[in-house]
Amino acid sequence: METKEKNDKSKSTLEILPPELIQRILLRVPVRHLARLRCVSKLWCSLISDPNFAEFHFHHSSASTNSCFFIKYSSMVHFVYFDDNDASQKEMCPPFNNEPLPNFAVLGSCRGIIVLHRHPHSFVVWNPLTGFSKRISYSHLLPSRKYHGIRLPSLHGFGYDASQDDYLLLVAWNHWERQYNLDCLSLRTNSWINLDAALSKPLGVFDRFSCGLFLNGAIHWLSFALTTYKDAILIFDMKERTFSMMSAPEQLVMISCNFSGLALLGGCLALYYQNLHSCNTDIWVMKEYKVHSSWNLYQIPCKDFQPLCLSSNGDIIGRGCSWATVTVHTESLLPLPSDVEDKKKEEGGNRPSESE
Amino acid sequence: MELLCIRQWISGLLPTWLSAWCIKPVGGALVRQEPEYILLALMGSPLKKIMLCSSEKEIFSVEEQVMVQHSVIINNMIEDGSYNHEESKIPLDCVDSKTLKKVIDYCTHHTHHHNDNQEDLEAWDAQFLNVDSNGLYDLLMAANYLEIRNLLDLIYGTIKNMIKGKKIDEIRRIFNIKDHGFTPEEEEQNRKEYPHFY
Repeated sequence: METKEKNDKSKSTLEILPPELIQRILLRVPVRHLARLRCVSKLWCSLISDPNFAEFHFHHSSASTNSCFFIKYSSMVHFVYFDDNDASQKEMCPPFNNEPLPNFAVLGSCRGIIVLHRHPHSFVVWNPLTGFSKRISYSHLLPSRKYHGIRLPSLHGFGYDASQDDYLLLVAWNHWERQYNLDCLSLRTNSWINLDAALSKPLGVFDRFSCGLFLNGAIHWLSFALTTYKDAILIFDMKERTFSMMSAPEQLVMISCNFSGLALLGGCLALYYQNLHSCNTDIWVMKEYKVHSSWNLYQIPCKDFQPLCLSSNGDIIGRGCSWATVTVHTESLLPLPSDVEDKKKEEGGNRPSESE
Repeated sequence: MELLCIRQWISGLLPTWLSAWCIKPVGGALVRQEPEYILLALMGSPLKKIMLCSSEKEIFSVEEQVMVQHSVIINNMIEDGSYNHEESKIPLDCVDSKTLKKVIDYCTHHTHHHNDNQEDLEAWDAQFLNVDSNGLYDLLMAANYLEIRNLLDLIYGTIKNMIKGKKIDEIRRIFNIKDHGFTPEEEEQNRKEYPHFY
């Protein structure tokens, strides 16, 4: 009897594996499955919860297995995966603690962390996989800025500063006098910095609700008017905290800017717009970063095509016009820089804190 | 006849000054060595064999080139000269004969068929890993010990697929986890958070 049992077990069980090998197996699992694998055992939980592991996993797994489309539709968010092996979806409630009428907008995503704008005057920073969220109010910025009512920032960008292990959120509201007030939030220090002085000249008129693209340690915005190719792209360097400009290709066809924008295609900066003359969508891809001569043109024979990202076999995935906001989101289990202290505060919450 | 042509061809490749060098000490005297064999020696002699000894003291003879290409450990041993071709065998005390034979099969196949198309190689790999869990575990341990990167990747991928879509009890069983280490309260909390996983 006992031998038979042993034989049955040997058909489907491995001998106990050392933790290093378990870790290497887990490195190959898409990060969205790792959260629930923490329930398998205490050892697996500690391996997966280790911030070093989260960092290692983020850097070593391929972008396509952990990327998805983060879609805001009415009051819910949807995750649509486009990995070859697993084209699944899931729906989640944003972390607003059962407040009525959740009115929010998506501002950006970086390294698994999403920033939402929450009515009336706050930002919510959220990692959907770890569940961690933090609300940051910006109402203190308002009185001195003479804002009227609730308005989304007309320019915003979210990115990671590797030199400080910090995330920066840049927001600008265009004043009715056509001036821009540019403020920057550091998530690590939870403090605001005003960046007006960093601009050598006042900002031009940028896309309303223009979303910055984070790439190579800098945030990039495309000029609203696109009247000229010269200095059409504004760049904010996260480490130096300075602004610079970059030109678009000279062959740029000056066109209506409602559907123009920047995208990240296969690690390269891409500039797209609707070409009304030929009814195509023109996509200019900068094959070598900051090398002006490396702009390559791709034409998609389709109007209203907004490129989002590349699939694993090099196809361009895009979307048509709709009301939903679609953001390319790479999932991770990475914590926020000051995660630990804030999480204790959140958990402590309404309960008396444990004695030290 | 064929061999003669090959030997002439190789001789033709060699510069004459090298032919003069083709001498080798044998039994205290200098003997003129066939140049074509010297050329093969210079090329790293793909026919040179090494001996691997399993935990059950069984000796396996395998082409040096094959093992050097795949196993970082064996490559290091050969390079730093700790392996003497004439006398040594490499003792692999943690690998049994059955597993060692399989590992050698894998390395040999991949060396000789590396130009095959991807589909054929993948099919062969799938067939190769069609073993029970004990066999898989032994292969994983052996590949880890010998540091055979591509075999390790293959096995990790297989194990990852084994847990894909499985419920937690199944995964615990696959990994032989008898005591998960959670308190009843923690287990309850986990169940609430991921009901579909249980």
